[in-house]
Amino acid sequence: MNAGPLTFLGILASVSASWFGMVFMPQLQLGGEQPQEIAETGQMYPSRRAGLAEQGAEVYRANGCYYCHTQQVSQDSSDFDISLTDVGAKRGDLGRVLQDVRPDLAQAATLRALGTLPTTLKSFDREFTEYFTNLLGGAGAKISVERVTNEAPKPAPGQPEEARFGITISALGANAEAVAGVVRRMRPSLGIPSAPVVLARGISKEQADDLSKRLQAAGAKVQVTMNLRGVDMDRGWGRRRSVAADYLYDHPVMVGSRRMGPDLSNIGDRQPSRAWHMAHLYNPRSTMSEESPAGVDSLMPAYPYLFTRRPRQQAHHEGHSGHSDAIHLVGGDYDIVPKPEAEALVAYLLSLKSGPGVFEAPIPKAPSAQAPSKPAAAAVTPSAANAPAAGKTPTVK
Amino acid sequence: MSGSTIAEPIAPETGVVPAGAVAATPAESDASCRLPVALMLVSAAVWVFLAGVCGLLASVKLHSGGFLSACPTMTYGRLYAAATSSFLYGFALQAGLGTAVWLMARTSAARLRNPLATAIGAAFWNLGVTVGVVGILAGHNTGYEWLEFPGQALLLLFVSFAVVAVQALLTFHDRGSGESEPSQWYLIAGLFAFPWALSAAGALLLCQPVRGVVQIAVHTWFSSNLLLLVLTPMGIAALLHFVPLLTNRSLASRSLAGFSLAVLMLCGGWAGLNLSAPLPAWLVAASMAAGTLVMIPALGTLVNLRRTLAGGIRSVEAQGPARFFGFSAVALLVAGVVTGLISFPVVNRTIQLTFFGVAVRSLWLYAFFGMAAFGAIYHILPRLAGCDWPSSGMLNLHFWLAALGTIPTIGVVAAGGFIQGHEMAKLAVPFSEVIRLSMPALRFSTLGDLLLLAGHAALLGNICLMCRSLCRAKCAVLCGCEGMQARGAGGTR
Repeated sequence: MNAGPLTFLGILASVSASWFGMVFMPQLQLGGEQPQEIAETGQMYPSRRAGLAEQGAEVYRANGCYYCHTQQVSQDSSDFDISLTDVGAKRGDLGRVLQDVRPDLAQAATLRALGTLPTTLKSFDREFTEYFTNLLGGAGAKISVERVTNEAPKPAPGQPEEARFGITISALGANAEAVAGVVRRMRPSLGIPSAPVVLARGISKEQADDLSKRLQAAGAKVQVTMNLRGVDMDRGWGRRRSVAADYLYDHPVMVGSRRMGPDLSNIGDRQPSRAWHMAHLYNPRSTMSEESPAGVDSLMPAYPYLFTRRPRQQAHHEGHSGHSDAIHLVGGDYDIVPKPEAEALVAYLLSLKSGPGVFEAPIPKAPSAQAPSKPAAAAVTPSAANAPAAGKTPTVK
Repeated sequence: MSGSTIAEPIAPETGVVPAGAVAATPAESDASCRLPVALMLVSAAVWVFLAGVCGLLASVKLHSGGFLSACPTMTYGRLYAAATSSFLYGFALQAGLGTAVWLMARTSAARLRNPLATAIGAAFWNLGVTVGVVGILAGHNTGYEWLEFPGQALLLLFVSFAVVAVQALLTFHDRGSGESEPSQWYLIAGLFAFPWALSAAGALLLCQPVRGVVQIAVHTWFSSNLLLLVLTPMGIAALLHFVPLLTNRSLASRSLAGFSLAVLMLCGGWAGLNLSAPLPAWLVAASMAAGTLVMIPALGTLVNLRRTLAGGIRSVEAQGPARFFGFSAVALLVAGVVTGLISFPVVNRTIQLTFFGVAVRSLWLYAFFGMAAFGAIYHILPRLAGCDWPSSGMLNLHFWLAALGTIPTIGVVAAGGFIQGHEMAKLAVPFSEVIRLSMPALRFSTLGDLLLLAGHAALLGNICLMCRSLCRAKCAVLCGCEGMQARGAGGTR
């Protein structure tokens, strides 16, 4: 068997297939990507880095920073919140839906409505009146029953007028919740919490769709908001997942492949202090040590060669006391003056910021109604705390 | 010496072996590729030692941030890049190329075409690697892992690889019989895939850079090509040739070897993307699926070798180079299975962006390919030199140092990477704590780097001893009577 040409053809075909899939198709799909206009700000994203930051990217590349730091934030999943914004007219239907979905909310709302006792629940026929009277009595409520006439529906001609009764609750007794449960069955509309209220958090898209359909059928207006979930974002490394647009002007693209150090996608947002970065580059242990809040010595290599050391006096002598750039380290007799490389590198690091929400990865905004989002806590608590947001699916009616 | 083969260029195409075209004996094949192959294999041994030095320094710097920090050349990023690149291009590809040339000549029972051109190609290859490593240390790396050499060095590498590969393919063309061996199929794959991948990636990343994340796709494509379509076929070719040869059997199944190669070539180029890559979902999904399938060629090759050794591996006396091949074969199985496993999204989510990936790469590069290449060096060099290794003790020492060294550099690092990924997924654990927890593994891996470096020193020392004894023999021949006189004088002394 002379398999030479055949082997060669097979190899050519198979390597071409992977070239087609991994090189040609991505180029076709993303190679012509252009900056897009961000609706809120009206600005184009992304934009090119400023010259100094662009030089800093070269310093970042030359020293292989990308071996230890990634610049990619991923999103593990997304979930949804549903809020009731308007209860609508079909209060009875809505009350029944809420009783299924959030019996606790319905209960609380019922109890609130029963706050001003005595309350009279009217117009039950004889059979229902007996039934509910027994239930309410069993739950420990103090009640009285009286006959009402004017609210009864007009009977068909020739039929005897049916007797209607009103039940007045004058005290809830010891077991208020059981009474509320019975009242909700008598008057579902009493179990409607006052809008706006969050009905569910962190549910799947299917659940959110199902629930919003049922609520809308009951005449209510709801708001469905999307939350982005991911440990990276919860650590405060970004507000949304990284997308292709974020790297549009990078060459080389240094997304990194492992995290010996933290992700740097938004280091410019997280640590906007130039002085901190300078000190960290000169001696990482000076900003991150066992005594610092991190509680661990930084592992990062020091980069003293990005700085020059000058005796402080000499600097004064030369009239360079205006070394506003110099870093003053505690107890040092020297001015540590950043070289242009260090200035560029820090400019680059400060230019790394979390991008705005884009079409393929929107950032849910916290609506003003639910303002108490705590920025400090956002870094440690899941973004559920940052709560309902006018994300992908805004108010639906 | 190549004149005789060039004189009958038409012979192989006619399919009839003319009476004049006698197949070259193994000794003749060896003689024809003595200069280029020895040059490549010895240089590979030198580069692997240098890579070990850089790797050890980088490994120390990883957990001692203040070590050697005053010098820009000694930055972790530059040392690590220099270590990886000199290992990949200086050692792995060069040893693979040298082995490929020698195997091609041997399995084709032909003389190497144009040994001088091959040797010049090999010399320029080394020049390219030198330029590249110096470039990286001077801060001129390209920023693409595994493709860090500056463009000029890559151009040199491309041309010299092409020159050597063409000679190997011409030698294949000269084979005495029409039959081709499975190991030759794998070699052809590797020899073709490297220039193809390097030229495509070099053009699209360095000459006419594609925009944004397409670079990630191209770069991943290049690295998986280099690992799975160039080095892996070359390593498997060595296993498929040497394991049957050293055990005096014939390969169990040609068709299984062909099937494994087909699956490897089809899937290898796609593998390598992580879930987190900011690329279209279809591409990531395709890459993960392909990564899973990489298991198949590894399993196929192992089954084939196992059937070749029917009667039990224990019956085979594992001595000298055979040990290296045995280790390499087992590592291939482990590497294939692990690569398959980490391509499942549920696993990948944990280990992506940790140094588990580094361990997997070392598994392929060192435990599988490196050990096969060491075995090939130990097998081939004595045949080229015409004398046995001066010290079999150093050979065994190298094996044990390398085998032991892989435990910290691969096993422990993988465990550390898994811990890192596992802890990183927990929001309650601050990132600094994640790193602190995975630090012991990195510290321990420095020990492994030290062991590996000692192993490389043993290899280099053995080669030096061999050169010395060769020189002595040569001197004795050249000096003729003087040498005899000297020997006589020595005898009386």
